Amino acid sequence: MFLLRSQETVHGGTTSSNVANRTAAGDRSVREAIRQVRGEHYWSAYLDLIGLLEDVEEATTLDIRPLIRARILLESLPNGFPPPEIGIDPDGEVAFDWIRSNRTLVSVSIGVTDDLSFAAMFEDGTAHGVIRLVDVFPPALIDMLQRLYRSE
Amino acid sequence: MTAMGLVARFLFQKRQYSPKKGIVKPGAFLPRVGQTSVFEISDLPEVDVRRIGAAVGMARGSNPLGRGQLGTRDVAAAGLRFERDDVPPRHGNLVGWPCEGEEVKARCKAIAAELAVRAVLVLHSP
Repeated sequence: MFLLRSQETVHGGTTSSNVANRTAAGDRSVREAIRQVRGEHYWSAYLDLIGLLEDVEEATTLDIRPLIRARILLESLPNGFPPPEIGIDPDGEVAFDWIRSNRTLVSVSIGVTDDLSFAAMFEDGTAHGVIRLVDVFPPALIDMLQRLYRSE
Repeated sequence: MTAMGLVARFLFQKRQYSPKKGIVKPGAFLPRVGQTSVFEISDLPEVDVRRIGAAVGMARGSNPLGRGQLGTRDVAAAGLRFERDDVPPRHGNLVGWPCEGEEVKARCKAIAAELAVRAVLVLHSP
């Protein structure tokens, strides 16, 4: 597992361009390691998350804290699950969507707190609620992803 | 609004839909200030729907990449309703989103997810 919790502590007044510049100047060797160990799909998701900075300014709130938490969540995604599709909610939260071609899905929103709002549409039911992001990938989210991909 | 009405949510960002899965993402339907902007497209030919989309896009400086199309029955099934205000013509909002109580965002996401799986993704070719 790669935990890239760098020195990107959130300070008031930080702009997305500052973050983008910092990201662009990031550690290439670590990026290459991610690409090799986690695979190209994961790398694409990682780049997608970085690219999200461009869209944040279109959201209601300009705040990079959700992006940092989203990165932590992405980097702790256990092997065996595909990376999520990444989006931005109107309230500025980062959305991780795991979508299957049969139109079932798990959608998680990452905001400024450790509480992650989620909604899921399974073949055999639905679920929604809040799960807590702590130091590891939330077990409740693992359960939902296993349920989503169970019949695959 | 007819019983068989159709509304469209125009999509301006690639992140709002998944072309591979042929689905609009839930986030595309989440409300902004308690409502989601849509247009009634019932009985309109495709060319007119595109014209509406282009008009909406003029204010943004870009054409919509596609749209999520929902029947008003789907809207009602998700617990929302369509309120047409005709500003501009055929415009309206999906209203009735939960706005208070616990886990508001999660409840909104549940509704948006339901709309997403019911919606038809129509991509607009350039």
